[in-house]
Amino acid sequence: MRGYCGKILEVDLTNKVCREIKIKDEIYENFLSGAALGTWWCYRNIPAGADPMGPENVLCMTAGLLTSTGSAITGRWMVITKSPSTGGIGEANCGGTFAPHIKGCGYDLLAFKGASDKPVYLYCDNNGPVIKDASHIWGHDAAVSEKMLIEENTIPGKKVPAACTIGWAGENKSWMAGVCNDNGRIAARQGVGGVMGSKNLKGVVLAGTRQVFGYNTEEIKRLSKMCATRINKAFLPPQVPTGLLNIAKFVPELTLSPDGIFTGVLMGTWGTAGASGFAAQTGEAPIKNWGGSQKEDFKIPKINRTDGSQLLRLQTNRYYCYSCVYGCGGELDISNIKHNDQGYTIVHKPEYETQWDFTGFLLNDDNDAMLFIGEYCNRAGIDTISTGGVVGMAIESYENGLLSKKDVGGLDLRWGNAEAMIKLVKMIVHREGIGDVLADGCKRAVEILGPEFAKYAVHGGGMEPPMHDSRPDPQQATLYATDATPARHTTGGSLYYGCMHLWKKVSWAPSAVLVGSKAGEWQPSDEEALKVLAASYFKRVVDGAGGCYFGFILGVGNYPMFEWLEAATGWDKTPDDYMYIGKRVYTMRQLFNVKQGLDPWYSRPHGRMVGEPPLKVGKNTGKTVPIDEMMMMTWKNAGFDSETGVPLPETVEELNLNYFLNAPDSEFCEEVAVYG
Amino acid sequence: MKIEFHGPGMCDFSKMDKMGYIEVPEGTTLRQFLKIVKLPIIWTKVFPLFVNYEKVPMNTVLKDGDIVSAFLPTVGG
Repeated sequence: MRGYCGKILEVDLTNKVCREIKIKDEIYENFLSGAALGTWWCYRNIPAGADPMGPENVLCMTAGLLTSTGSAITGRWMVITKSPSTGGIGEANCGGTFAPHIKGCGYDLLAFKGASDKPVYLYCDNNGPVIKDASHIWGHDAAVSEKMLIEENTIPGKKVPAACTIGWAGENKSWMAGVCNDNGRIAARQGVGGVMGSKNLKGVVLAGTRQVFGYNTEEIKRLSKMCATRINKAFLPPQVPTGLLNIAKFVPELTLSPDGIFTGVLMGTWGTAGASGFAAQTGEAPIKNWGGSQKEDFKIPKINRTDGSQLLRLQTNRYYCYSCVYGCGGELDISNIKHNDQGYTIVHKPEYETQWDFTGFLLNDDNDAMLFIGEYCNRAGIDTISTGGVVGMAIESYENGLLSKKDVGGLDLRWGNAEAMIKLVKMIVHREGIGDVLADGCKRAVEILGPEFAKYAVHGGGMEPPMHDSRPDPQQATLYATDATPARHTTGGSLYYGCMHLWKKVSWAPSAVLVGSKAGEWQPSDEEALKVLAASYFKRVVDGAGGCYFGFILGVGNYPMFEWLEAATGWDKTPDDYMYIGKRVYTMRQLFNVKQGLDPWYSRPHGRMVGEPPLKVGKNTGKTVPIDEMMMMTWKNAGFDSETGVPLPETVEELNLNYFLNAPDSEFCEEVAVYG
Repeated sequence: MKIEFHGPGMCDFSKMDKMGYIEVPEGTTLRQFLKIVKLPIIWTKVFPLFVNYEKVPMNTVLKDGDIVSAFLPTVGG
């Protein structure tokens, strides 16, 4: 074996039929697996102009090529579909323990097409798939649903199955809904859970026990041991107070090349939220719906009350996702927090995005409210980044008189009013009152409420941006603007690119070791565009392999992605070859969006994200990103038309994408079994 | 000889080339190297410092191509 199963399962929910399809090796050799395989399948099977919430849309769940081969930090699973929020390719990924179960059933990908006339779930084990009734599960939150599905499908003496589910938000077809696993972890972005809800698909239960092997198992293990050993040595003694890390608060002003091995120091000890305090003080964390500054709006005492490191006092346990040696996950006991009207007890430690979105971003210094909302969103199965974004839009609209108290159901929707924030989140999840308008994100809300709301609707191409301010980091801004899944922080940025060290392995990747202000360093140039593209192509490789974002910022020396892929496949490819695959996938994603009728300029970020107009106070004072020039420079270097963002015919030809995307199914696919 | 260095922003990177290497005389010890890059010693007392991903004594003589990594916090999430 070469790491992949070589088969996918297509589930026709309309006709309740499943087809097992063998995929030719050349697809894996040219795209890898994981998210790339999902995008390839979506491109070929979703017609142009398809309604994302209609039966013609296809929803793929996939595991990466390296998952289950013995490689470390490669246990992500991915959901790919046409996104309702952007209208382009939708992609979300998640950790936990679900990914290996997909390959355990003998498939690299599960593709759901059509729509069921009643709630159903897919069950699959070594004997094949069965579509089962889920009427009794519908209406329960994601975590309860998962527990119910696992319990009713557990056979004594056999391996306990894994399940993913949608929660209330997915059932309500929210464009911000995600798909959950492991008791509230969530593949959150781009409304993939809403698409699942539109198909009446409540969950997927996987109980297969098939094994997957790489070409050179011993080499995979050796590389994993090296990675683990380095990470384990790079941890900080827990007695070091978090506040000490604030001495580094000036560091993000610099562009230099850190050793990514130290990312584990922060995230292994405190989780991703541990860095929120100095993220705020350095201008990394946007404040007051991207319109404020830490200096004026969220001063040090408030930061100290809400700093992510405070969460450790509630922590009962650290945990690792499948194959992880990093362990940024944690569980908290929130039994005794305020606002806990749902009786939550042990919950996932909030990620940085959730933590900052519902504290400093909305000027809320009530950490208990943030903890409650985080868990409520996890169980509802809704994206906390997008939810925080629309809440910010609503608050600012209320503060400025565009929304009245009556409009928002009687809430006093002011900055920092925790009780009002909690109630609004519940209204969004259940589509009550103004929540029905906000449940599909900022862009859709403006379409309903009117163009006067646009100035407070911060998004890029329909996606609410994450809690990483792009004004001080033009590379981040360009990634937000040019990726086919826009406004995402998990592809790169100046600091992350500096961590990746791609230039050590990839012949054309520019070095990024020079010291200087990030904004000052950046002048639109071919070299800067190549950094954006190098990060983007590498991300496509990592997502094809099932790797984790926190793996790739360890750097290619510490996280030997190219070597793992070689050991798993035995293809005799170089890092440049793998990056060329990344380029093919990157271009295919753009072609998907073009096929679906999107003008690539659609993802130009909201003015606030690029300093239009520039802030007048705080760390990001006066910073404006020349985003149009950067987008065009990036497209030019990608082989796209620099004016339109559409891939040039010669680029498509060179990458052989006409063949891979348009040749008949018989070229690549062979039906080997039918169930149902 | 050339030493690859990764360190925090307060260091002196003026001698670093574009690929991240700093040229130092043969026989340079770790302690001497830290003086060259002006990394405050307190930083190494509190945070990890590695040579080729191992903790080593300050009097260790560096070799051409060694990687010296000093802690630099990065934000993610």
